[in-house]
Amino acid sequence: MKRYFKLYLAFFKNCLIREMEFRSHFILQNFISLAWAGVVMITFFFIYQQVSVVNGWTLEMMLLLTAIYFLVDRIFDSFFEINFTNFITIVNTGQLDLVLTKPVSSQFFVSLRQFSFAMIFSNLTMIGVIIYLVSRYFSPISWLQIFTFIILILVSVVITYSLWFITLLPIFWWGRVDNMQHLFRPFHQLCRIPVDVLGKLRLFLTFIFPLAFVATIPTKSLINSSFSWLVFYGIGAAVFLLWLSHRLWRFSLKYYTSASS
Amino acid sequence: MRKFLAYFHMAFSDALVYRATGFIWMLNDLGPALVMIIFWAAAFQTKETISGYTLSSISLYYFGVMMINSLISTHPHYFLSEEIRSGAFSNYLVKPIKLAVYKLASALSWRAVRVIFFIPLILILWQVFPAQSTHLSFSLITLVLFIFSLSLSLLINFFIKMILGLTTIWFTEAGWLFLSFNIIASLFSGDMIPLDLLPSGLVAVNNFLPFKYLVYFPLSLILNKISTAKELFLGLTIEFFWVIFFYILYRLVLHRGIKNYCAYGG
Repeated sequence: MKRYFKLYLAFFKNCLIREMEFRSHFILQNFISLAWAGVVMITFFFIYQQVSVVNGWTLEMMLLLTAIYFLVDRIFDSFFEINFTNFITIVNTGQLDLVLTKPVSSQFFVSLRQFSFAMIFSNLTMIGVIIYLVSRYFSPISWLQIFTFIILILVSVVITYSLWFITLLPIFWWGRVDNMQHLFRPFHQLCRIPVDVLGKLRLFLTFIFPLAFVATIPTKSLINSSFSWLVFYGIGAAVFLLWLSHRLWRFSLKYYTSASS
Repeated sequence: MRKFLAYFHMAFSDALVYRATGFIWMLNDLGPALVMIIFWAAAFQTKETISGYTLSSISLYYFGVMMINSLISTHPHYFLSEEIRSGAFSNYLVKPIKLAVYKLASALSWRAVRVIFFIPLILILWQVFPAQSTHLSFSLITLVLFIFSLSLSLLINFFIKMILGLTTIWFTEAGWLFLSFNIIASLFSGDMIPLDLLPSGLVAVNNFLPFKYLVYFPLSLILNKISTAKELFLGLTIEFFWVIFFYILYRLVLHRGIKNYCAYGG
């Protein structure tokens, strides 16, 4: 464990040095990723000029949901997104050979090799927006709620990572599909709206395909002061999906044919 | 024209080989509009009409958005940008090929292959979401105008994207510019919400900007949202103006760009 931590620190430093070489790019990227969140919030703002509440969700709640969705999304982007794009390339070019011969977990290496600083401002701003909205509209909140919220954000990141990683694995069979990393995106976008508006699909998305844990359930943990036992289900689901992604990774590796040479 | 067909044919077989890639891109194009329909469906549970829309007319609107995003709007800029960086762009300069004609043919052939997935998928979604066809009643003349307006928006979109792609010559990395355009366009083109939900001051300004003519204007034609002949005429004139404008700008940028182009890696 300590070894992995040290290794990750080295990756992190390495990427920071790289990033600082392209400072203007870094600032622009940060600004743009922030603007996206802004546009989605503005959209909901305009919709709520026409209606006051949608299935129990008010404008303030929707803005909080959007901020939390983008926080998780940006955390995911910072840690995993470039790696997932690179992953498709290294499988298709056969560079995965190099990774497999290294004395570390190959899943760890392909998922976390690069860290992107392009989303830092955006992350900090989203945290700011969440704090503002909560203190303005949903206070007082207890320490327990804050603690559950942080746990749920971790659960959300792990679930997003695991599901997204699993959707990359068919690349071992269908090498030609060079945009496999975008397969999960439309499903992920579904998390921009609360699962409550999905009617019959709500239970399915909570317990079987747990997208509800990406944004809806963390948001609810800040809105409702009563503690929900769903937190434990979320932790279980995150652990299970992480384990499943690892099993499927091991399984898929058997079909790796090392494209080049 | 013969050349155009040849390019089209070439890229068509390419697009057929990369079917799954096209399918994934299409899912990505449909995603945001679908999410919006689901959200609106919940909003309409307590109200019959929201600023002139019913649930089925708003669903119909987003079906139109899905159609435009997956069949009309093209994205030649990403690949063009890559070609400029790698030096493959030189091919267009030494061969007797018109860049725009080639890119348009290949973009359209990818769209043509997409129709194959798009129709069954949209028919399934049509059953799931309540966009009854009863709301879709239009005269033959409206249909002709709609198709005309749609082809103009295809051209506006295409030339904007080509210009964006060409800026790679100066910026080397122009991804930020592409994204910025997407963000602004997604709000002002009517991609996310119908533009008549925006404040009236914004709508008035937006009438003269190009974004509206990418998505909202053709859709408002077919959904019978344009009532007066004056409005129709003005809209089509502005749309036509933007096609000419972006075509000339494209020629200008291409001309300047070729002089600046360094052909790295060649």
